[in-house]
Amino acid sequence: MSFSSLGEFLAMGGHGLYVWLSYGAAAIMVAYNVVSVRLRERRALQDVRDAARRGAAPGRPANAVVSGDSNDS
Amino acid sequence: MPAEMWLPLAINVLGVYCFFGANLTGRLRVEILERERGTQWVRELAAGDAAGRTP
Repeated sequence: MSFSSLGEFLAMGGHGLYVWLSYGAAAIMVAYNVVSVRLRERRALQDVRDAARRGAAPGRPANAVVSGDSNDS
Repeated sequence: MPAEMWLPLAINVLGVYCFFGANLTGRLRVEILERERGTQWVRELAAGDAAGRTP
């Protein structure tokens, strides 16, 4: 199984559209997951620093029911 | 399935599992940081992170 030209590689025996769209979708999912977590981490640490500068202990707002789940982002 | 198909498939499956595990672990870290943001160790971590990378 080898391709003799770049054109053949891109065409993937006629299945090129499916193959490359699938790879693209997977790449987008991976990239999104990596980037979103890094961004959240950076923002979380920055919030801690800001709160410390502002006057210590950012704490949570007025207690009440802390909903168990924070869905994504 | 021909051998030259199932071995790459197995490797890919393993890769996806590893990616899932790593992603879950990363999200868990951030969740803990967010929930524990009022504590001393998180404050120290954030301050230390400002100086050098990678907590």
